Amino acid sequence: MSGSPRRRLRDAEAVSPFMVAILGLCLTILFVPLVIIIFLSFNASPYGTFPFESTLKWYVALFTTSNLLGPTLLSLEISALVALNAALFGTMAAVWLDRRASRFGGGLFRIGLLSAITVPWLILGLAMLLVMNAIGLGRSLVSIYLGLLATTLPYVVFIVVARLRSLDHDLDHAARSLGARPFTSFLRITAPLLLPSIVSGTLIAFMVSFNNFLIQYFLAPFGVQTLPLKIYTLIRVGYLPDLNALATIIVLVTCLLIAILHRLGLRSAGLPGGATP
Amino acid sequence: MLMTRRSILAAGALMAMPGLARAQTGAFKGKTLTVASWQNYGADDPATLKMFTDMTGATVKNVFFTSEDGLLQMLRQGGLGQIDVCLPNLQYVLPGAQQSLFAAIDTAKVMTWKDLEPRFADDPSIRLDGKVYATPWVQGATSLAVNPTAFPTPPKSWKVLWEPSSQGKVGFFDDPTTAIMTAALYLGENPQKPDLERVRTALLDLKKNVKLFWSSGDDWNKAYTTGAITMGNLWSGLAGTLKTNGTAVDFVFPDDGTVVWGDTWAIVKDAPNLDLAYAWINFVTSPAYFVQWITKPGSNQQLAVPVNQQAIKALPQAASDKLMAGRLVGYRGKVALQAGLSAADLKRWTQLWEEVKAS
Amino acid sequence: MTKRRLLQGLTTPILLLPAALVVALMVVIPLAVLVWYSFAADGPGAPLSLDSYRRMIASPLYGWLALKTLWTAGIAALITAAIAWCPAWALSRLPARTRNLILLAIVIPYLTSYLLLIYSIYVVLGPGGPVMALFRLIGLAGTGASILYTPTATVVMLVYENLPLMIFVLFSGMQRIEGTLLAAAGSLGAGRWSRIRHIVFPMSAPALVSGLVIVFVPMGGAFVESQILGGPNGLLLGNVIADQMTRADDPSFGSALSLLLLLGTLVLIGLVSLVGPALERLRSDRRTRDVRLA
Repeated sequence: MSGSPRRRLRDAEAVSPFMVAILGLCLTILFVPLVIIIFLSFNASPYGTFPFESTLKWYVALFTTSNLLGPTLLSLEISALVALNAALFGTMAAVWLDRRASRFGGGLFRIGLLSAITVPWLILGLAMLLVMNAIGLGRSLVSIYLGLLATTLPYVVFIVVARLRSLDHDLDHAARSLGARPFTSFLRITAPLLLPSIVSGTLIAFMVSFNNFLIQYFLAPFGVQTLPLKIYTLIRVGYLPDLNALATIIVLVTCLLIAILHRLGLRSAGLPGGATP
Repeated sequence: MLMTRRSILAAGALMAMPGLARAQTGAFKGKTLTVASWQNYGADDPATLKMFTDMTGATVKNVFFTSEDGLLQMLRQGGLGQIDVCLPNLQYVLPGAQQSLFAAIDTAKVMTWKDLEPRFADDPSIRLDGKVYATPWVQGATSLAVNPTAFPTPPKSWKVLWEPSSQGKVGFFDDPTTAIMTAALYLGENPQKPDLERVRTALLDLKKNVKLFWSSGDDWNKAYTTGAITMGNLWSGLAGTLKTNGTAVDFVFPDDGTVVWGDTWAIVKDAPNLDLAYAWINFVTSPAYFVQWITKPGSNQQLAVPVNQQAIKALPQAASDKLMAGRLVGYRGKVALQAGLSAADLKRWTQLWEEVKAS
Repeated sequence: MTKRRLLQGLTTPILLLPAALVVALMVVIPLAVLVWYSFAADGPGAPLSLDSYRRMIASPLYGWLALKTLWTAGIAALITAAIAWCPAWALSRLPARTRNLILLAIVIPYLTSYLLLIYSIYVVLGPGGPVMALFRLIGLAGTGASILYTPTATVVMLVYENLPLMIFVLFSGMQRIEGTLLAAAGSLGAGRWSRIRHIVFPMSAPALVSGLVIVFVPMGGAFVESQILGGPNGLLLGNVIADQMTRADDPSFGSALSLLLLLGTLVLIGLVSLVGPALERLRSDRRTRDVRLA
């Protein structure tokens, strides 16, 4: 029975040093493989062997001889398109789910969305290919766009619906009773309140589609290589550290984006939940 | 027609006399040849591609597959009419031709045909209904490799992989035909038509010793250089590369025989640039191409032994030794050539291998 | 007025239309086609047959492999949860700004291609890597030994890959636990561990269950991890499915195996979902008992 009741209160809310230490350990473990990638990108040996000899040649190679930038750019373009469309369609569907869905229709739509993220993408990807072949789209950019869109929509919808739930519907009603058309009231009142969740939904959609190897593996047209596909072909034949150099740059750009997001004070509210690799 | 035929001939002649290249630049100016191959395997070697462009004026678009079935799938699912030439393994020429994925080749248009090793050029597995469907390009053996530290005297038989003392030290190539043929050689069965149940039992026994089923050269290199495996079956080209880079490895052609494979160039059915496709085949089978590719390969290129005998002669001794070209071509023991299986047999073998791996 | 109502009625399908079309075309129809293909052993045009299922049942191999796959994924999911629990709890109690920064930092490995991370993990687990050095130090392994090429390596990779996700899910559940509740319990004399056991754990149980489900599903469908790290006895059902679709070129059998995996996954998820309410009930039981004691 040490300390005043007041101290004990504070103690109850704070977290034990033990837990914080484990958090630190966990973060370290998470970052060790990344540090290894970065380390190897500066090592002269092409086989990742020692002694360590620092060099920038893999970075030079990345921008001159290696064919990695094309696939990176393609991945960025596809993911940006998919993420923006997922944001638009997902938000629309979320509004529908929240405001207009019948119990049955809403339930059905939810099950469809849930299937898109709970069926292993290995299975879903090949099932998509079977359908695309049947309707004549086959492996094509349209197929890959549709496939990625289907696997990213659920994240946007669920995040935005969660936000809509917590919104005060009275605001919307008030605007409408003052004569605002539903669309105007949505645009002026609801949309700004939804914006953070839409932004985080878009970001997650971008991430998911950028790294979705399995869907791309099954649906990408032959000869078109997105970054994950390029990496897959390279690791089959043995890759050079210029790939590590690219990964390092991607990690650094991500860090930068994250620092900016943090500066902007964007709430991480949307981040938890559902992103699958 | 006369014009295009002449340009093919010109391109063919140029291979022998690269000095003339400049004069003929632009026979195919503005055209793009789409080539399907493995990555880092000759067809995407930058310096040789530049030679090709200098000679023909055409540019090359590379398309990569990651497995032989991937190639056939690629052709079935939209590759026809897009891809001009592709690089199937000897074993996959017949299945591809049976599925009408390849166009018949007029061997008279392939200038190098007479120089190709008869073992490959006369092989029935590149022929269907009397027509030829592929031009043999490079070859190699998937034979026994051991670490000399673990084996001061190299073993002489595949039996070593099955010894109880080899437990957890074997790296074995994850490929149905190689696996079944190797087991057949070990059992003394006919590698083309083995008793599959005996093979299954042998492979299940072998699996107890296997540390890793490798599927790329990178897999093998990582496991071998860290000491995780000390023996296994290995591509001759990879063994040569390892040796040249200072890693000790003994490459053995066992007394019970070895598995030999070949990669070939096939023209895809409905190829958009048929004449250019012939120019490509003439180019990549020429001695000039092989000397450039093998002596000054681009970074990370996997090399292999030419099927063109003149090309082997044209190689400097060191480069030829690195590929073990002499040992491979001079080998007179029992050969299990990875070729000639029907599509149905291939499927049966594949299923057997899948079941062994899953057991 | 009627015009507006008409417009309002029209907006409903228009709002839903794009998303519903995409989900129908790329999720619902494909899954239906998968079921159909599993009965089309002789090609999609031929009469339906049970051959693929017969083959699946004829050999005990596939059932056993399915169990092994679910077992591996289940163990990996539980380990992920065990590792993620404390960090998630610590995170939920940290000041907002620090917490957000750490949450964002955890996203970074998650954003890096897992294909590259597999090779990085390969270096970590190799005989010369830090993990084996540690094992040797505490006498768990001899020199040159490594857990590479064993099913354990697959589990390690699966855990690593899904750790950030698990932390997020647990964190979002724990964040809702009010500090005042803990303070109240503290002032009534409950110690740190007792608070965690009786308040935090039961209250975060639903998040734990959804976390387990969310990481379990991709783990069940994994195949690249086991192919590269798992060694000869580390194959999972995902590997066989992938091989059937590519190398063996037998989409019907691949579809039947996919449905087997899907069924197994759903059954296990169902079982896990039953655990959540059970934990809740446990808590309320205890509460009544505590009240009675008081």
